[in-house]
Amino acid sequence: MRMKKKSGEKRATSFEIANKLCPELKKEDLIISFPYNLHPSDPRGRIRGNVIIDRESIRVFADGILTMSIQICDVAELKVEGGVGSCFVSYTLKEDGSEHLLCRSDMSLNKRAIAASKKFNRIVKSCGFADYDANNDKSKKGKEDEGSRMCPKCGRPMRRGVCMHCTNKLKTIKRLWLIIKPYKAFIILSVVFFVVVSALNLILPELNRYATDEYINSSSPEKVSAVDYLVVILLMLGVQVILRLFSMFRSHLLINASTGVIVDLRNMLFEKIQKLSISKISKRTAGELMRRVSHDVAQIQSFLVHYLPSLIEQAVLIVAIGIVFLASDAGILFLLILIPVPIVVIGFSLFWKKAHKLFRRCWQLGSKSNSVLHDIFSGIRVVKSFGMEHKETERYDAAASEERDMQIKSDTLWYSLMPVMQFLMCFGEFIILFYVGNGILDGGMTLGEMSKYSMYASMIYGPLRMLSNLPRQILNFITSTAKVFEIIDEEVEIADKEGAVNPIIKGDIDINNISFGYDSGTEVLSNVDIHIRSGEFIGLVGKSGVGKSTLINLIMRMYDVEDGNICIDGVDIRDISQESLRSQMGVVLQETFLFAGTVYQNIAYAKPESTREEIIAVSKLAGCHDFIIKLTDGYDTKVGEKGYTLSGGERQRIAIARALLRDPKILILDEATASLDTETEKQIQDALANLSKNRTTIAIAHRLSTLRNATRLVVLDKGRVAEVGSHDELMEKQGIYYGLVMAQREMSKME
Amino acid sequence: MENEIMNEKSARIVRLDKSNARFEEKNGFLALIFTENGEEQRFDRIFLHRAFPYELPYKFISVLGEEKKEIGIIFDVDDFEGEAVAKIKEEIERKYYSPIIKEIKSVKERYGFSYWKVSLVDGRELSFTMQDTFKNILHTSDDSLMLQDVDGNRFTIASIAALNSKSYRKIELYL
Repeated sequence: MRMKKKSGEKRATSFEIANKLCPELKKEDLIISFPYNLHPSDPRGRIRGNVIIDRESIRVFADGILTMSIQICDVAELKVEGGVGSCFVSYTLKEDGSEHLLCRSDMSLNKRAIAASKKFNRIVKSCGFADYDANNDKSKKGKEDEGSRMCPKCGRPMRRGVCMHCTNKLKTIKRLWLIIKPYKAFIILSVVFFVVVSALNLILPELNRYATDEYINSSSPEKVSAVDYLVVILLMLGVQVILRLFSMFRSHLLINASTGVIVDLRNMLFEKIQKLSISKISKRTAGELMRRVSHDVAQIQSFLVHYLPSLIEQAVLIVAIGIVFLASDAGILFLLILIPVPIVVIGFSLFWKKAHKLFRRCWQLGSKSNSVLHDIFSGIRVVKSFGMEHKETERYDAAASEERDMQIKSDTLWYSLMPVMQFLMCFGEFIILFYVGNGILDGGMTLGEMSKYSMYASMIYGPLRMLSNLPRQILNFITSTAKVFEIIDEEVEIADKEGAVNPIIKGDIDINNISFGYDSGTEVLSNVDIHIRSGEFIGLVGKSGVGKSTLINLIMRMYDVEDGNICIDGVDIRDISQESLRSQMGVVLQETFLFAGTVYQNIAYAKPESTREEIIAVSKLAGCHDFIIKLTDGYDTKVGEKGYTLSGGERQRIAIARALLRDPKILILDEATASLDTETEKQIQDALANLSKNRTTIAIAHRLSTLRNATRLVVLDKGRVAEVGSHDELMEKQGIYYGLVMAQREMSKME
Repeated sequence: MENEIMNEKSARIVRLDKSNARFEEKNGFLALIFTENGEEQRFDRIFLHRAFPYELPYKFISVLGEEKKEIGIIFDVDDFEGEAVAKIKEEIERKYYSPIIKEIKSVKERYGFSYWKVSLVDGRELSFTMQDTFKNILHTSDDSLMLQDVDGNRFTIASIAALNSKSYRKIELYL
């Protein structure tokens, strides 16, 4: 929500803005400044406000007037809380811990406020404001602007830090060219073939004219030789054969090139999706991602194989025919034939404008109905168990009807306009009939010439008719390309550093004073400091939502910490390659996913080169061997979508076996035994107790008995470490852990 | 017939109304003085959450304390009187900020973004940018829409039927 900046207008720096409001302020004293735009108390009131923080005070300005000033030494922290479409910035007083409203803004400025408050709190935590040296804060410089995804030049949103409007358009073409480049030999050769095919196409009408004027309609029929005529016919036949052969080679070359490009593009897309963080991937449904990889790429292929060649051929042919007409002193006729072409082009461009949105909408609705279908089939058990088949049928019917209605709308537009366009395209043939017909009557032209020009005209108009689908295909191509590049252009949040190392992990984990929050700006974890030695079994305990799973995700580097760091064996995990890091971790989650395949393949997924003996050994350890062996097909039993249905506990044990197969130095169990019965859980606990001797284990469990073997328990509360100690120590302390244990005992008694 | 579950202790809803709740402004936020069984409790900072933000924006407002634990539910803001109603509504509107669009001046699509110029019911004009436009236009009822821009700002079209024909034509294809 913003006013557009004039092109070329330079954006004022933080200091320039602050200095305008506080002329006495020195550059080295300014710590942070950020704007806000909503009235603090009037819900709908908008203002132009600024918060300026220097070494001594926090000053709030509204429309250039100072409205609030607080001594910085009185403030403990700044906080940004997200509303819905708005956010509140508040400060907490050191004296009594009370929270006060500082300012309010809409979401356009939310990220800048978050970045500023983080910087403020970081300085409070580290050196304090008196010793803060702005010049030495280069590493953090610009962070208050990091939230802004807008182009400083035109104010429009950017992609990967690049403004599509202000950037050089040639770059986009270069990007496409980079994908196509490896196939340039095929493309150059096929272009040569295009020219040859076009040239051969031009010979035929001339031969036809010759046959008509010199033989069929000869002024002296007595001189006509049947053999000569046969030679001309055979010549025409020969040209046709060569023409078809060249067309065949050309198509072969194009298919090779385009298929290669498509496979590369599909791999690029798939690789990119794999690289994206969980949070980015979860913003899209599985159905939508599948559609991008399969349907959209297929659309691009269809355009490259079928329509682009026709387009090139048509362009080459028009130029060549133009040259032939000019060489035959029939330039005027050529221009007359071309008269309807611009009308058709203008008609189409007007039509595209309207049709573009309709086709986009069709795409969206198609994707939506696919997603609905995917959703229903994925949850078919829930649907059936609640007897909601009828309701779900209605839901799909509604989505399909919506798609159908839009399809009717776009097809109606398409098929209403097409006859008009086709009529315009026929117009050229009538022009020839009139122009050449008059020429014949005047004696200036022959019947053969009429036949020749008609053939040339049909060469221009014939493909035009065939290409009447081209705009639609171009639209599909553009839409699909945009959709594919939308994913390829997504920013990879968690990327490997250049020169990332691949160490052999021992298992020491140091979580050094980390803080982390998701997009909203609210900290999920703050100042968490835990040091785990290799071989320790750490139990993470706490109520739902205190940040246990977030902490585990951070250790696995699914997200990056904002403050502090996580080190494994003394190396910051951001310096370790993700593949190396995760390949040495074993993870068992509460939600177990088994791929379509055999039980053996699912266990061996973690280490494909493992022997059968290893697979059986880990299965015994995970307590799944006994039930697997009882299955008719043993380890070769098919599981997954179309396979044998395993119980939740059985799936979980297979997942544990899968994790153990890697012999990980760090084992992470996130509610791994939640769906097991008490007896099985005990078996697995005993197995894990043996296993955890040589590896660092971090386990989250709501069922606290699961953690009875833990060396230490870490209790999290409101994103902070509240208690640390053994079971006995924490019970003695009678704190949060004690409360949780007591509550569970009550539950057990009730059961 | 009343659902028996509603009689369960853990399903109990604390209803806040003028008999047990008073609101006042404190430090720029809303504070609550809540009386239960004759005992008065003070919450210096409360958070209001709409349970049904689109259908019933001023009914079923959950009131959370500083620990983000629910204190009770305002079944209807109009259960209160005078200044209290204004204070609660003001606090809700401060949190749920969604300017109401009166007219759509222009919509231009480029590079996967759509650029909107609109005028609001209060007469102001503003522009915003949307990505994944189809996805970010949500039907909040048969006749109303919520638009969300790239930053997370929300805009309301209170009545599609009340839009002028030019505006409707601009948004029609997204509906």
